[in-house]
Amino acid sequence: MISVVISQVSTALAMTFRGSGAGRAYALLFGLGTTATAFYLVMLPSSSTGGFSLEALRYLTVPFALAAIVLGFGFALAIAINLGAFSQRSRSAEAVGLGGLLAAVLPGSLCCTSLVPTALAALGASATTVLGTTGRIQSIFALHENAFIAVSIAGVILSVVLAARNRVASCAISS
Amino acid sequence: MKRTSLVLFAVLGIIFGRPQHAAAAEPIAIGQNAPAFTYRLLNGHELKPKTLHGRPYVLWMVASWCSSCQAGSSVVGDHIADLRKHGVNVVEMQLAKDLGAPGPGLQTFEKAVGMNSASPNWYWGKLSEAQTLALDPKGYPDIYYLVGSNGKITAINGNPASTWDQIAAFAAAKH
Repeated sequence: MISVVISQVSTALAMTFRGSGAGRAYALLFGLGTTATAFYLVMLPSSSTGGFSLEALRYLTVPFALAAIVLGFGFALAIAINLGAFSQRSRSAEAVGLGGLLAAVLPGSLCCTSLVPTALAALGASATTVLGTTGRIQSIFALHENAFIAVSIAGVILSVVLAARNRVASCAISS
Repeated sequence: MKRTSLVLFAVLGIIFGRPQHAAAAEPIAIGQNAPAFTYRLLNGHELKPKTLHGRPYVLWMVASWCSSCQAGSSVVGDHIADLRKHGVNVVEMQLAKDLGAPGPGLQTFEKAVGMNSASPNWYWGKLSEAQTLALDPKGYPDIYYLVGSNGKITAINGNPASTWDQIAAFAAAKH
C-alpha cells in the first residue's frame, strides 16, 4: 500500500516537474511555498502573543519552524501537482489541503484572544455564561495545540497524496 | 466563488481579529478608579487595597491554561527588577475557575518564571467569582489594567509578551 503511494507520488512529481509545464510548477512551488511558510513561521507561535504579530517570531522553535516548512511547501506541492492535471483537478485534494492549513491557524488565533468570548456575547450569552464557557472552548486550542498542528500536517500530506493519485489517474485517462 | 469569498473573509477575520486592543469592550474604562478589592494570594496572605495605594501597578488577569499568559509571565519575569526600580507592582491574578476550564494553576507560571517570581513587587493570587465578574466580565483570558499611583486606570490591554513596550512606558512615566 505504502509502496503504491510512494510510486504514485514519485510518478506525479516526475510528471509535474519535467516537461513543458515544469517552469510554472517550480515557480508555483517556490512562490506559494515561500509565502505560505513565511505566514506559518509567524502564525504557529502566535498563541504565545495572543494574535498574529511579528512579535511571535520570538517564540519560534525548531519544531514550529519545521512544521511551517512542511505546511507551506507541502500545500504548494499539492497545488502544483494538482494544477498539472488541468481539467481533472482533484477538489478533494484541495479541500483536504485547505482544511489542514486552516486547522493549523486555529490555536494561534482562537486561544487567548477575545474572539471566542466576543462571539459568545454576540450570540446573546450572559456574562456569567461567558465566564463559565469561554475557557472550555479556548483551552481546547491551548492545551491541544500540538495535536492541531499534527492534524494539519497530516492533512497537507494527504492532500499531496490525493493530488498525486489524481494526477497519475488523469494522465492514464487522457492517454 | 461567493462561498469561497465568505470562507476567505471568515478566515481573515479569525487571523486578524486582534482582540487585545479591543479596549472599547472593557466595562471598566480608562480614567476610572480601579476597584479597591482585597485579593487572595497564593501564599495564603491577603493583598489589601492600602498596600497598593499610592503606587502604580499592573493588575493582570490570566487563565492558567492560556499560553500567551505563560509567555507574558516569562516576559514580566525578565523585567520585574526594572519595574521594582520604578516602584511598580505587578498583581497577577488567576481568573475564577479559569473561565470554566481548570488549567494547571498559576503555580505553574511561578515555577516556570523561577527565582524572579518571588520578587517582592510581584503578587500572585486568585480572583473570586465576584472579582472576576467585576474586572473581566467579557471573559478575556489575558487582560491587564495599568493603574496609576492615584488609583486611576491609565490603560487597558492584554498579552504582555506582545505589548511590553506599553508597560515599560507606563513604568518609566512619572506617576
